[in-house]
Formats: sequence, C-alpha cells, structure tokens
Amino acid sequence: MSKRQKAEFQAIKAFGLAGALAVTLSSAATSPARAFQDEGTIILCSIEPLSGIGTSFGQPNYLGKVIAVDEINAEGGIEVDGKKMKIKLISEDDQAKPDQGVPLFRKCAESDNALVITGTQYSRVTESMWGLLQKKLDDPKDGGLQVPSMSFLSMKAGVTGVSEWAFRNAGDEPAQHELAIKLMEERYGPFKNYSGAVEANEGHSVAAWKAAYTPALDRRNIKATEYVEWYETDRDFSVQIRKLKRANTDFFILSSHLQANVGAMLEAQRQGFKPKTIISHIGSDAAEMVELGKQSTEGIVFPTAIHMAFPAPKVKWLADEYKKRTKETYMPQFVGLGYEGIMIVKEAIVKAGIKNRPETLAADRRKVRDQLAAIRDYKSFAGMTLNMNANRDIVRPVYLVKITGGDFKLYWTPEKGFLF
Amino acid sequence: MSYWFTIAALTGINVLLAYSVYASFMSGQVSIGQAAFFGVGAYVGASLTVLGGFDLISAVLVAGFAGAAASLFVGVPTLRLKGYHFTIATVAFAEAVRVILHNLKYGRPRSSGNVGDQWLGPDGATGFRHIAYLNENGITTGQYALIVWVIVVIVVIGFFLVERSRIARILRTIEEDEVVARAIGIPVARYKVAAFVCGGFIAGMSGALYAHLLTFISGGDFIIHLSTIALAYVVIGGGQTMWGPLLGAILFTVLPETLRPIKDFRIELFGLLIILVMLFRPTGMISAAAVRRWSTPWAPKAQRKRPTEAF
Repeated sequence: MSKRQKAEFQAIKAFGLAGALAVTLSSAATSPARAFQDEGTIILCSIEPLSGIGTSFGQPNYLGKVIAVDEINAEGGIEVDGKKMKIKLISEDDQAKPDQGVPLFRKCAESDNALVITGTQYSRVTESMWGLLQKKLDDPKDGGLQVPSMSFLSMKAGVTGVSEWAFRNAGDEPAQHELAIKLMEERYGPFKNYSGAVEANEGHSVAAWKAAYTPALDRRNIKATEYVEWYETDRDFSVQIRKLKRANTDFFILSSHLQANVGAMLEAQRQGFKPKTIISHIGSDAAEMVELGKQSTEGIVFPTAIHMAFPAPKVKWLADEYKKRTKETYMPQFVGLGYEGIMIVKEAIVKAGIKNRPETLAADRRKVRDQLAAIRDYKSFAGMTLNMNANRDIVRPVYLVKITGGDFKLYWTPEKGFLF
Repeated sequence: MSYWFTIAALTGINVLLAYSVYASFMSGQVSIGQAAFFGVGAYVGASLTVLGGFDLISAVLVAGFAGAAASLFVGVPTLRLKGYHFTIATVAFAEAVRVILHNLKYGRPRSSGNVGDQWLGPDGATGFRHIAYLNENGITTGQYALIVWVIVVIVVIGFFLVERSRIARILRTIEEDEVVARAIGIPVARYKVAAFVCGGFIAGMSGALYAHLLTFISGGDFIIHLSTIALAYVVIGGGQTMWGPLLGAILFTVLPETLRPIKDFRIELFGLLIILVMLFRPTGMISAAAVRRWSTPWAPKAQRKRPTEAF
C-alpha cells in the first residue's frame, strides 16, 4: 500500500470512527422506553418542533405539557386499575418536517408503546402523521395505526378528518375569525376596504384564508379589495405592502405567522401603511412579534384560547411556573393548551378504566380514544367548560388579544366584552 | 422496528433521489431541478392510487415516466446551456413546478369530509390528503421498506452495469471536455439529455414512493432545498463513482436519526462531520481512484486507470 493509499485509508477510517463514536455517544445519552407497564408508568408521547422554524410554538407547548406531567406525578400519578401510576412523557423533536414526524409517530406508537401521542403542532406535519392512523374505526381492511393522538396546536381546517383516532384542542378557527371580524366591525366599522395577506407556502395560513376569512367575507358580500401573498421565509415585503396601501386598506387580515409578520409589519411601518384594524391568527402569538416588531406590530388583534390574564388562579400559577422555567415575561396560549391537553388526556385515561398492561394496550388505547371522543362539560383549569364536537375538535370560547404597549393584552372576553 | 423500517424506506427514497442527480452529474451537469421531477412523480403517483385506483407498482412506474417526461421537456432546450447556466435554468424550472403544484386542484368532492376537508385529490395550497394506499392495502412499513429497497437495488445494479459500460466512459468524457467529446464524434446533446431523462425517471419514482410513505403532500414539500440536499448526497458521498450517492444519501438520512438522542446537539455534530468530510475529502467520501484500488488491489498500478484514460 502506497503512502497516499495509506493516508486515504486512514482518513476514511477516521470518519468511520467519528461516526461510530457519535452514534455510541448518542445511544449512551438515552435510555430506551420499554416495559413501561411493569414499571408502573403510563407512556405518553410528545412530538413537536423543538428546533427549527416551529420552535416558537413547539417549545412553549412542550413546556406546558411538562408542567402538567410534573404536577400529576408530584401528586402520585394517575389511578389505574387500583394503583397509582406515574406518567412518562417521551419527547421527540420533528423540526416541523414531515419526513421527521412520520418515523417519530411510528416510533411512539410501535416502539415506545405510547398510550396516547400528543402532537404535533405544525399542521403540515400533523397531516402526514395522522395519515398513518386508521381512517375509520373498526375497519378491518384498514391497516392504519390505532392509537389516539391529540394535537394542541394544529389549526388547519379539516385536519382531524384524516382519522377517527385524531383529536384536536386548538379551537375552531372559522368561528374565531368570524367573531373577530364581527367585533372589530362593531367597534371600529364601517370599513371600506378589506384586504388580505396570506403566507402562501404555509398550509395553515392558506387554509385559514380559504376556510375562515373568505367565508366570513362572503357572508358579508365583501370581496377583498386587495389580496397579496408572501412566504414564511420572505424578507422583502415592499411590493405587497405598497399594494395594500394603494388599495386604501382599512381592514387588514394578516393570515400569516410571526416569521413573516414581523418583517411585513416593519415594512408597513416604513411605508406608513396603518390600517384602522389588523386581525391575525394564532401565528402572531409569539414574543418575537413585540421583541422584534416593536412599534410596528402595535394594534394587531388575534384570537386566543388561554391568556395569562385570565382570572382563574391556576392560570396565574401556570404563568408563574412558565416564567420561572423560561425567564420569559409573556406566556403564549400554547403553554396553556399544552397543559390543558395533558389534563384532558389524564381525565380520559382515568375514566377509561384501562389496565395498562402489555396485553391490554390495544384495548386501552381504544378505551381512551372513546373517552376523548365523549368529552362533555370538561372543566378546564382556565375556567371555561369544554366539549368535543363530532369532528373531534374541542369547542371552546374565543377570546381576543391585542398587541398594545409592547405587550399581548387580553382585549375581549365573552363575559366582559372589550376590556379597553 | 417499524420506526427503523420507516427510516429505511426514507433512506431508500433519498438514495434514489441522489441517483437521479448522479445520472446527469456523470456528464458534468449539475441539476437543481430534481425537486421538480420528484414533485411531479409524487403528485402523479398519489393521484393514480387515490383517484385512479392503480396499484402501487404501476403508479410508481407511471410516476417515473412522468418525471422522465418533465425532464425531457426541460432537458431538450436547457442542456444546450453549459455549467452554471444550466444549473440556474433547472432552478427556475423547479420553482415554476413548485408554484404549479402549489396551486393545482383536481379530483372529486368528498361526501363525508369535515369543514376544510371536502376534497379528494390535490386542493391547491391546502395540499393532497388521504394518500392512504399503504393502510388500505395492509402494507406494513417493513414491506414498504422492502419494496423501496428492491427498487433501489435495481437502480444500483443499473448504475453498476452502466459504470462498467461504454456509456459511462462517454459521459465521463463529456464531463471532462465537451469540445473533445464532440470532436471525436460523440453526440453530446443526445447523451446529456438521455442521462438527464434517466435522472428524471428515477426522481419521479422516488417522489411517488415518498408521497405514499408520507400520506400527505403539498407544493411546499418540493422546494429548492430538497434539490440542494440531493446534490449534497452526491457531493459528500462522492460524485466520481456510483457508490458515492449511495453512501452520501445513507449518511445524510441515517446519521441524524441515530444522533437523535443527543437532541439539540445532533445537528451541530452532524454539521461538524460534514465540514470534516469537505475539508479532508473534497472529492467526497469515496473517490473513483479509491474504488479502483479497492476493487483491484492485486492489479499493477499501471492498470488502475481512470475509465476515460482507457477510452
């Protein structure tokens, strides 16, 4: 073997060793989740984007779940078949990518033997994951996975239609936006020019425009004066903002997430585009909107499910716990939805009367699924009463938030109306 | 195991995507348009099983031909371009196809759908739901991984044979010097188009397999990023030999998964490994010379020539 051959061989060997070392290290850093039943634990899986573009939504949601699990376990766990069992929450990061979410969903269902899979949060990924589930219950021809799964964030219209094992606790988006438009019209109307901006490469924003905003405008016999599109990753919004400004838009519908919203609103500020009303969806519920957007995002109104200013003491406790763990000053609704979601799952497990043994896993999953489908008059920690509808979406009251003074202020509640 | 079977299927799909890049890479053409052929294959393949009642293998084959047709459509006019000009043309094509897929709507209404889920088939930006062929036909992840890898093996054997044939020498000659190739009577355009179309065929099949694995697709899945990653499989693995794309795609798909337990650090560690490869192996993990040396360790040095040298 020549010197060069030796060097080449050594280099390849070094890469091989580096790879093997990396794999070994990674394997050592974890312990497999097996034989959970014998250890007296209930396995729940949690899949969300903990890194990448969806982190702003995934991390708070995950933390909400962790706080709930910690609380349940601190109280001794869940009573199952006569004994208290603790919850083990297995966390997986899908990076908001479907090709990562699909294998992870299978891992949770078939390797980790999770009783329930929570997540994921990006509708695009949720759609692929739930596509693995059995479409119709008891269909012998359908070999899909039979494990209940609940997303606490995927807002895209129609997502739960993929499978009868799929549930959602994210709110009814068409109802949310209908209410937001109605309230804004009552308070600040009449408006002359309704315009929309849609994040065209993001399924939820497109679906919100098609299934929520457009029907709401249709019901009023209004055609959008101007309609513009941008992408989640765009950095230049000058043309779109100019169009919206030229259309004399006074009612602006921002169907887009924070990644684009901040840049678009900064451009709007630069061009002096200031409509009377701006409404958005939950994609605006992230601290970055005020931290990066500063003055430009002032006045944006969006719906929320749970807000840290709710009077229920448990909400204040959760907000304090979240702040303690993250050092953040604002608790987005995703924390509350994550916390509440785990509590809903817990109640379904308790009511299902499961055995939590390896041989009863399939039956246990079905029982929990049926309990989730049957949720009626569930008393949320946040003070409201929740019900599961026929589409397996939890029906919940809508609240509005307005970005004011660099903060996300609770703006309208069903009980008190406008708060300022 | 089903998790690893899913990873195996994804790896196989990525290997096919890598070979689709490699096909034209052999003639010196760098295509960033594979995402387009992959996307066309995904939509055609899924449409055939969901709307047309086709079986999976037929759908995958037809998707391959659709990918080939798309690559022929773009290849004939653009392969006259050279180097970066061709690459940029493929970028433009990929973006155009993505926008078309993003807005494509055909199919039929669903009678029992929830609000927002009342359409069977591609529904514009909402995407293409209910690609449930695997579940509906009781195909397990293990079986699906097997199907994918059978196709991969066939493609690998195909490249193995091509690499040892006169065609590979011609393509490598075109890669080395197009003027010389033309001067010695090689119909350069014909070979370049043929290689590009082969790549389109493989990308189309790969796209169809992807759609059925993921159960839901949308135009946003087929962005330029996908093409650049596919190109990276070839560059990192090694573009001088057919083993390079195989190694590159496997490395890119499996290593991040095996590193998953170290959570946030996995991407950093993976990135570090890639930087190390590029620093110490700029021609990729496997070079043609290394393959020749390993495949004929007993042969005298003089006989271990590059294919073009022996042409």
